[in-house]
Amino acid sequence: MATMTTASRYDIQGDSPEAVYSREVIHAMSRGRWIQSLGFEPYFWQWQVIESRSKRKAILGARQGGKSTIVAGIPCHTAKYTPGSLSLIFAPTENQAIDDMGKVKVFAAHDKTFPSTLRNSELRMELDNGSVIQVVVASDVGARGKSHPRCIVIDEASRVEDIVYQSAIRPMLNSNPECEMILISTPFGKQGFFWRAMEAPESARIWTRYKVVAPFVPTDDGFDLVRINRVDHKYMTRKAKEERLTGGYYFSPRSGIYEEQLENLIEIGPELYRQEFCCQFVEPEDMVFTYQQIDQAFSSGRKVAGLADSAKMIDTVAEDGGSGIGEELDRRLQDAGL
Amino acid sequence: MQDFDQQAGQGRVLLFPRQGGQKAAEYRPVDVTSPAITEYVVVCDLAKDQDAAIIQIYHITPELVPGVKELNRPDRVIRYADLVYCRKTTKESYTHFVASLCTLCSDPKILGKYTLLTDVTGVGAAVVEMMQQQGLAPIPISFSSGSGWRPVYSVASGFGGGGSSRAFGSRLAQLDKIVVSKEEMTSAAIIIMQQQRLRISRSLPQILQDDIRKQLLKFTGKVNERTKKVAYENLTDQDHDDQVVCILMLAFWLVRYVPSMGEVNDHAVERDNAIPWGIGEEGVMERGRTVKAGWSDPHAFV
Repeated sequence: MATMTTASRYDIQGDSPEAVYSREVIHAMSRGRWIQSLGFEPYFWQWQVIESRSKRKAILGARQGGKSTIVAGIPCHTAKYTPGSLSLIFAPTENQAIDDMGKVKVFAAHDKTFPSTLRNSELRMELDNGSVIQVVVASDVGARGKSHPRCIVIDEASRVEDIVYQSAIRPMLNSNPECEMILISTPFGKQGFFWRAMEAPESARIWTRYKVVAPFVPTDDGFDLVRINRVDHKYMTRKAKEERLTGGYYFSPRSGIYEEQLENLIEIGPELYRQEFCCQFVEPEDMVFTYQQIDQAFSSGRKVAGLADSAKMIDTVAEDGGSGIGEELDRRLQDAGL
Repeated sequence: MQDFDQQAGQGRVLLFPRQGGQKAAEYRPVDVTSPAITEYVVVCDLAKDQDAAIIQIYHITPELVPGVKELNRPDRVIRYADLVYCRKTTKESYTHFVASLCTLCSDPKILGKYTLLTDVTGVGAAVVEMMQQQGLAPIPISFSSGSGWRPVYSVASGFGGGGSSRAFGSRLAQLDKIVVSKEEMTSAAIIIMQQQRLRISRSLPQILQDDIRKQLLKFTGKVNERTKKVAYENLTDQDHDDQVVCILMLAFWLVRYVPSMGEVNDHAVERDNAIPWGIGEEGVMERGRTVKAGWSDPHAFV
């Protein structure tokens, strides 16, 4: 979360109704100004994200990079200034979901004009302006059934199952052009929808990509760190261009102390440091097959005209109806004429 | 040439190569009715708990790879495993599953040219019996902990002789199952992946390709800090490894089991005019070569 000032910058006590009104208009228009008014000072990269008008944002951030401000701040702002809206925060585990709701409540508590809550639980907050903020554990069953959200934030998106995103979350965007979707995470291997959103060439047109990294890279031998000049804008622009980061390439303000980072490197090793702080999609150490081997298996596969006829003879739907991924795969098989 | 004791089993005949002074119990049976490497390998993983039931069909494609003259290495035939068909269902009854498997295996393209491997870990013999009743001859594979693998044969008297007699045709030997550790299968799979012999057909539906890719990515070997042994499993409980299990079985079959049964060194040479299936296919013919030279060379196969 961004740093908090000792007193709220925009204290409303003693202001005239006109001043309050104009301030509220400014806050409704600018999420950054609203967050500032609560006493938090967003970092530069956070400003870029929260002020962006893009409806699809993917943020790859280093550990302790300030992701929570985004996760909690944007749904809070949406709930306050868009009455009757539904804001959803998805998290891979229940603990994470509860933590996220805790951060939302911190923001709400700092805003003296925040709508009062009608219902307030660990996972759901209903406001008197009709808005709802809900945190949801990202499971195939739990994530279903929400309709027409105005804001979707997927926290630790790299840890969320593809099937949840594809079959439960993604359909919520149908006929919902106003919905803003934000994926935010540290990397977790070259797999899943978050990795595709950040790295696949075709995804660059859909997602506004941001990358927030520590200003250090491990040396080749993995025993030391090399510092990158944090105000080298040319370097940042070049990296953003190279990696097709339409939102920009930034350095995490909280990862600037060399001694701290060196300690991290020594404790977690260069591979994990590259993943957690340099935000690289590296191979997990315990992975049995390498990315290269797996890619090779798929790229060398030929189109084989063969067994489609025999497959047609089989009723691929299970006798008792089937469910879950199998059912979907079967449907896909049938669609493909198999 | 080796001398053989011929044994007949249920649905297959096994030959026990006899060597001078060797006891009958030490003979290693060689299955001759079902060629060890067939044109197709059908691998199925039966549904257990929340897992899905999988049927994968691989086409074993031999291709000639030119040798290196400078190093005095001959041309070699490499057998690639092309995954050409995959089927995945959940909550399917075993009866329906076996019926589907039977329909697939009776396809003219693969009928009589396939080996059927099935994972029976935690399922029991009932499903295998169901398959046998439908005329299938599955080779059950049971996963175990630890390391290594062993075939389990049931031996009974038959052809008018005692179970332990060395007389010709005196024993019924049937391969009950192969008990394999996951470590053994994984090491075979690593070899086959490193040799780039597994090829996933692009004809498969995209969702199945994605499923296989995801499972391969999430298949991990975690070191138990206490025992220092590696446990091979999916990354989290939510991740399934049913597709990977099928790949492991295929890899074990190709890399470990078949070579140990002497298919390459004995069988191929015995059938002097044998030309491996697959010759005449695009990959081989394009090079304008014959596979025969490689076929008769026991060290020419991978």
